[in-house]
Amino acid sequence: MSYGFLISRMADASKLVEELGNYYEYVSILGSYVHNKRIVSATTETSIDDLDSELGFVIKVYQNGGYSEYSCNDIRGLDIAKVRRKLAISIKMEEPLPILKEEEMVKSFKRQDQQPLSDGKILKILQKIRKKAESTDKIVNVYTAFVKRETAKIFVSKKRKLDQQYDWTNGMLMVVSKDGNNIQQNYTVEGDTDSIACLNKLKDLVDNTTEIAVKLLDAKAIEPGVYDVITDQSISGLIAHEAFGHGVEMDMFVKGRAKASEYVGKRVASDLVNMYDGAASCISAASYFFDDDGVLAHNTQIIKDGILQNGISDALSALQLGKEPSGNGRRESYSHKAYSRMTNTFFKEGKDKLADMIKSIDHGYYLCETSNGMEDPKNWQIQCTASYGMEIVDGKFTGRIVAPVVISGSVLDLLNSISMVSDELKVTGSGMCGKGHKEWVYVSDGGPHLKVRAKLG
Amino acid sequence: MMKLDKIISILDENAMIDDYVISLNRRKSSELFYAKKSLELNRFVEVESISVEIYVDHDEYRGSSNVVITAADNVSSFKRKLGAAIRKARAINNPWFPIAEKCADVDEGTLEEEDLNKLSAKAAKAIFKADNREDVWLSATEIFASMKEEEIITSKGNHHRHGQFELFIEVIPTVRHNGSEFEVYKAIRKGYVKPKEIEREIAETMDDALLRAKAHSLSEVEIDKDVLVLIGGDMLENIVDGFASELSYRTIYNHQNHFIKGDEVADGSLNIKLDHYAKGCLSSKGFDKSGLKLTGKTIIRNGKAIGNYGELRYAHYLKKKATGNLPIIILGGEAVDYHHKKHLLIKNFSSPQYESSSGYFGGEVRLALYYDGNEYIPLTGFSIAGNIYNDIRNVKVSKEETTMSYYKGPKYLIFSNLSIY
Repeated sequence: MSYGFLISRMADASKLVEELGNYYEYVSILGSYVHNKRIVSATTETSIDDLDSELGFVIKVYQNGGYSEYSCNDIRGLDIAKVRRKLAISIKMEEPLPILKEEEMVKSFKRQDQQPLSDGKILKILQKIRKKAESTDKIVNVYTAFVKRETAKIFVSKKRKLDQQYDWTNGMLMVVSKDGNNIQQNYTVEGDTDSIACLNKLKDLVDNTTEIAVKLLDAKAIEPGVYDVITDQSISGLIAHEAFGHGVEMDMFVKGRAKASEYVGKRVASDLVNMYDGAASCISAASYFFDDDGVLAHNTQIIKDGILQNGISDALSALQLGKEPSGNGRRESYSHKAYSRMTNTFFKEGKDKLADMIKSIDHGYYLCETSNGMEDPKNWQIQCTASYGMEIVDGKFTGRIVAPVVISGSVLDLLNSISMVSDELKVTGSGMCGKGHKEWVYVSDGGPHLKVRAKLG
Repeated sequence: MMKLDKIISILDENAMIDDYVISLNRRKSSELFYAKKSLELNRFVEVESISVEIYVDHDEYRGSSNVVITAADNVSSFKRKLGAAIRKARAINNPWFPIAEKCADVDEGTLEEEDLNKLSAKAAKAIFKADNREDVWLSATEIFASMKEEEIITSKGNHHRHGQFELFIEVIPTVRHNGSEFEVYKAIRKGYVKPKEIEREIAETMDDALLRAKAHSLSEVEIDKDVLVLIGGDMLENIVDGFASELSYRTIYNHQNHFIKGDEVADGSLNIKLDHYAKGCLSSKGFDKSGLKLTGKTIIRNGKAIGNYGELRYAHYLKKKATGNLPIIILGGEAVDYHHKKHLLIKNFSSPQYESSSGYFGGEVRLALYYDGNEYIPLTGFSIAGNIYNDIRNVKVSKEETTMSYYKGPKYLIFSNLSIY
């Protein structure tokens, strides 16, 4: 319904662009509608809610050698004189920015859930998953959730009229185990464009998620040290995202905050490493058709055979660096600024078999399930946390589990230590990513299994 | 956007709805974004959002669902959305729970609109007054001067309002040292704009960046095995908040608590009180999302768990008296004079981590100061780890006090046996 509302505002937006064009050399309008429906079946509660749903607009203008934006709920009936007063700025740019250049384009895009389900059917499937997990001894709480995110956007400027609508679904299962005062939790997430496919993937993971939650009750703390490590596909994604992805967001280049700007064309990883980012690189949580600057989605190769190729940019940072924008301008919401942000970020698959990789370890760990991570684009230090690690001795799992496991150290050391890359690629779109400590957007990441040498603690 | 009066009358007229809570949030904000000293972008935000939680009783259950009202909505679309929400609520079989009964309305904070553009410019002037050195500079600065207003209107007749001015500043000071560059991150959150205070805090953060540039790795410095570790800032807030949440009705109802009321859980000097207000804490608010008016409660006294707290729903399930979701934590404990003892003061984490189910806390340290008995030595690039359920039994606190977003109390927790690697 709100997609229809946005389309109904296309004419208003065109008129406003024309009127504001009398005062400003560049004007664009982004309209954004996001509807998140969340269905939860947990041991102690059930809910069906609209989560963080919103509808609003951003007007962007060029003045005094820089850019200004106004965010509002609706553009119809807007008092232009008032908007101009709010955007008035006495600060003149020391080095004026150029005016954004756009090619003529009128396009409409759509990618929708082909297998939608009613709320009642989804709730029944979640209940079934929950009950299966609850039936295991020592499980005290199970939380299952399904989120369907419907997004619609319009972008209107003097030369562009774009609209898009796309859906994404996520399923989540979190299992809490308890033995006396020892409480542990394990979770899994899955995603897909289609509701049925997403829930089927989640169903397949119930047994393993529950089994690990119980095993975590016996987990020990890892002895800090440097180990040979095999990463599961989520940890490979975490490394791609945290260790390197943030460092090639090109608004950081503009501010002199990214070490990567000195490394374009240079070796940053072993020659087995190829890394990509882009809303058009695959279909996942961050796959859109145009970004919040009205730039079409790209597939950017960041690392080729270990050599840094490109960064990713929003329109404003690309303008300042004299580059073509890569379609990575993203906002947390219409009431926030656009930054250079990752989308779907992953290492490309290689040729190794996982079984051979495990066999090659004398003493090390198989690290599983992303917990969290933090970037350090200036100094290339890493902090990536895996929910747990499974010990490997003489090429075999010992059954011993350690948790949690934090990977730290230098990004370059870690990426250059990659010595094996498996042949199975998986990109999972489940999490949200912040810029520093705010500005949350949906992203996906992944890759194949990697063999690395890493400092663990 | 639909008028509030109209929304209320539609809700009151609908016989299918047993209770409702309307949440209305308005934000006006003047925002400045700088790359080094150059203004890249200024923004002005004027937005509001309205969400309605409806409750429908059926059989012995209470179901709930919500409706988000946007600029696209009118009377007929709102009624359609309500119909769908009622159907969803009827599919939900949660045990019955109440919303807050009628109490005296809370009306706090100012409604006066300040000239936000002037306030953000005033903050910018103070920040860049401190950015006057050759060896260290601000590579990125973001300033948000915001008026935030929240209203809660319920079917029980409660109508609470909270208004708050908030200044949020994010700066990244950068240093060049021996051919390499180093940076630290700093976020400042205030309920006012005081230029001298801003200038002083920015200058201190720039000093931290200089320290990081000169910092040693762990392998270059011999750390005493009995070193005291001082943790403040976000990590302190996370640890104390996570620990206190053990005593929340929600945690208990979900079987995720490690201890219960009556247990000796922490060092014998430790006290934790939860409250709705503390001077300088921007999360202070006199009501919670169910419309309950909040009052304070001590939950840990002399290291012993003496009380529970939490929202009406879970208090009702556990047949306890609700305190509501209390937003402020006030900590007290035995202050020790650490200044002359060997200690490691953690100044800046990469990303502080706290995991409530296992009690793990830790993270990679970007800047710490090690006092070896004679002098402070800056350290970087190492990690610390601990487990709150074990390590809080010996925790002490500093004499220095601090106020953060939702915490008031000692500036540092002082641990004696954390893993440093």
